[in-house]
Amino acid sequence: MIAGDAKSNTLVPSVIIASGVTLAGVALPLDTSLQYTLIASVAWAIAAVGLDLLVGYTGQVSFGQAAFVALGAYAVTALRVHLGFPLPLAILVGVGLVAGIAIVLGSIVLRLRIFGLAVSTLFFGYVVITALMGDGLAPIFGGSNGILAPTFDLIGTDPRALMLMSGIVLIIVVLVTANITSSQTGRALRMIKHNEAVASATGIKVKRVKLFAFVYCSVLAAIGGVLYSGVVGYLSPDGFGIDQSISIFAMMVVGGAGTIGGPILGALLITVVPGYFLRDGHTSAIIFAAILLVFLILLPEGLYGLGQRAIAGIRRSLRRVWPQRRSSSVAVVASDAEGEADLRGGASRISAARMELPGDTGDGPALEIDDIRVQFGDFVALDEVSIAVRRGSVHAIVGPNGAGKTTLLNAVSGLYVPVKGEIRLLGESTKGLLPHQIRQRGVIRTFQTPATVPDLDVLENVKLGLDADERSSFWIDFFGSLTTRKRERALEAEAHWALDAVGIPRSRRTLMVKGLDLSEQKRVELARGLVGHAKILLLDEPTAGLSVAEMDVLAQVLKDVHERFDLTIMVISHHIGFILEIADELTVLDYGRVIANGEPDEVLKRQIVAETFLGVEAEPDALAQEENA
Amino acid sequence: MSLFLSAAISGVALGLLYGLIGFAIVMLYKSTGVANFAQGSLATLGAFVAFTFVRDLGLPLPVAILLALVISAGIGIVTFFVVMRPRAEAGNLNVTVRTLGLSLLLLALMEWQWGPQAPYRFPSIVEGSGITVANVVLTPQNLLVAGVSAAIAALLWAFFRYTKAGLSLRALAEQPETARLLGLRSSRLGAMTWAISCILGTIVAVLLAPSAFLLPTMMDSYIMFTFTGIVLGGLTSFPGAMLGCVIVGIISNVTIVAFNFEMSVVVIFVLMLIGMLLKPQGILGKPDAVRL
Repeated sequence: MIAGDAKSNTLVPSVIIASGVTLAGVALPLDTSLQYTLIASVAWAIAAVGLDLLVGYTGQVSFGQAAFVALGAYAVTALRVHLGFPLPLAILVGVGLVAGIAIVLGSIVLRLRIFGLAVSTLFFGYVVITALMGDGLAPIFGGSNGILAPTFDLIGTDPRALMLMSGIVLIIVVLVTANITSSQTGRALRMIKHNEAVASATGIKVKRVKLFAFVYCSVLAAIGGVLYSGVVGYLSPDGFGIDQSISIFAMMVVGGAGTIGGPILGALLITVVPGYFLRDGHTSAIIFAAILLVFLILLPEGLYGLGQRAIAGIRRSLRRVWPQRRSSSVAVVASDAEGEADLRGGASRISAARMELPGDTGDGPALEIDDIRVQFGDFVALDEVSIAVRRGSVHAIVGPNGAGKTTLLNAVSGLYVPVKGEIRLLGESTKGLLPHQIRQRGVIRTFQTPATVPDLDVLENVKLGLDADERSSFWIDFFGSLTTRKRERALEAEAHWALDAVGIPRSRRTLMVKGLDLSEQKRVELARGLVGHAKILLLDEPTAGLSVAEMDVLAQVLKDVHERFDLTIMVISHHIGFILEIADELTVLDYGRVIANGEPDEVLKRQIVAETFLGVEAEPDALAQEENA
Repeated sequence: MSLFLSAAISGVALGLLYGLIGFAIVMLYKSTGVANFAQGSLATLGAFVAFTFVRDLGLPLPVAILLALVISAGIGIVTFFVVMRPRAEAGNLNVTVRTLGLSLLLLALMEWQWGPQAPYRFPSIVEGSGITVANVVLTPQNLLVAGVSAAIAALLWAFFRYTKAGLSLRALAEQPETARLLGLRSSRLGAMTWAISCILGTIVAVLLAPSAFLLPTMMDSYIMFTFTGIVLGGLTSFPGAMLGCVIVGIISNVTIVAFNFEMSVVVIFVLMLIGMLLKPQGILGKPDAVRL
């Protein structure tokens, strides 16, 4: 992961911050120069909020944000100056153009990981500035002399009116962004930030969602640019160079990435302090860089996190003054126990509804792996592997470390593509299907280390499992609870029954997942799979790291969901006791090949299996290694 | 035609210089996962230090360069301990942005100190008329660059192949966790990586300065082209970085001669996008597999 945890529930504090800035700018008796600096900082803040969605929530990077601000400002200005477009039309066309550029650029550079993304966006910024500076485009954009930007109709140059308008735009931007981050789309962004491969196996269309974040980020930059052009009245390429892109990034970091409101505070600090209080160029540049470094090193959470901690501290001391406030938290604990008590009832109620789902009728195997080979360069990870998993059975896979077990699951879920052979789900080949498409066909997957999103709560994590079954439009995510309340309630109900099914008590469902223990995290991941109308469950070492008692609980849960939901399960485990308890059939892999297959009891008695897997004939230290694994 | 040919040849020399910086960036990226965007400013600072020794103290150029290299190593070590190491657990993005902040800080300091009178003419390291081979002139500057690049490449190869420090750095680059568990002293090695990076940067800046004029933003376009070369060649491969940088050097030089500087920036950018589409992991890079 590249950035720290993103924050949930940022809507209220962020709107307060945005409104506070607007009010201060409109109401306080500031001198004109400070007022203009403040309005400019609001324009940059809008670009920084957009960047926050891309970096803080999606875990991607753009070091070319100032170039998109420039594109927005220049496009709208040029449309008005040269083609005489009225302002609304110019904004529509200009911002649309920027969105188009972002789509083209994004679909190329988002394929890369952070390093490539950072370099290519930085370079893009450099290209844009070089082009704007150059003589080639000078007739349109004025070259290094710049271009005069006409003022906005109705508002003109009155600083209060400009401030009010910019502030309103900022508040709208904050509202929409906060709505997106707390919606289904927002959860998908945060899962992508944590792990793209897992996100695609969970059914998220990773490329599309990443591109959305990139375009959203660029469009906000363009909107910031339009405001900026109206405030400053004059555009010159100098103001949008690489250092300004870094400044916008710095606003986000100093304010706090993944907070929405934080970048606004960052924009104020970074624009107003060096720009207004230290007008001398050299000192202000040095101070700016120093502020950035101090924040990065000493306060990586940023201003927002600092404020949050301060408020939490004040609350704590208030609680000390008025101790009766404690009683409310005691009451919550008491109701937890009751919640746990009616757990079973909830589960059975749901399972009845579940039975009405159309099941598959057919006799062939649920999953056929037909003579596949998976290769990484010259290394053959799996070869001539054929396994048929009977419908409704629990099929265990065992084998020493490096035998190719996880590779097998990755091949089934579409994360790796076999160079030879075929995988069939309920009789249909999965050739050419992407991970999220395989997920839509009912293949659910868990991972060795629980692939949950640590900075989302338990319920939200489970809701992510329904992304593949998402039918409604994603545009409703822009408007928050007005439009998403009904869907959220339905998702919540499904999440609750899945959590009932895996035995996570209600009291723990609003906790961040990173606060749960390993066995609970594994069950949350299982619940995320269950909500998504699973047919085939692929479990990668669900027993690793669990105590014997936890393993018993897990075995019970698995048996229970297996029966109730008519699932086919393929499970990797090193724990023979666990396998004997739940598995109907067992396949042994070694060095990428199947060396045995059949009834678990019988297979484990075979000499070859004893040798490779249990290490009977092996050296003592090799045996120890097996046990450690 | 011979104009293009000589542009291409000096492009190779330029590419070799990019490659040396690229080498420093790849080394740091492999061992820490951090892209060092301050590499350019650190290099320029080294050239300014050498220049100050020559102009203000009247030292002979070779002595000044030698002193500048030593000071660069010191700057690298200080950078590591003051800027990079504290709270490095904040994540790679945080540390990468620190290098951008450092770059801005150095740039601001250089502008403050030397900016008003820039650009300066940096003394040439070699004089003479060069060698003419089949109508194409190999300038002494190009020959020097090629010679120094080859020597440094050989030196680094030997360093990473035969010395304990070099082998430890490689171990750290390939398997940082395991290397630490085996008892390699990662902070000492980290400081060394930064020292080597800064020395390489200063060498490159000193070689570039005579033909590029010395000013605080001297390395801006170079560092951009270097990063392009690295992305083209493969992020994690040393020969790949060198190869990518030489390709970028040739193409940028030829397009500057054929059109102009702006065009060359656009062409290189398009080249990078095409490279990303065709081979996202770079020419010699390995696709990185995610462990699940």
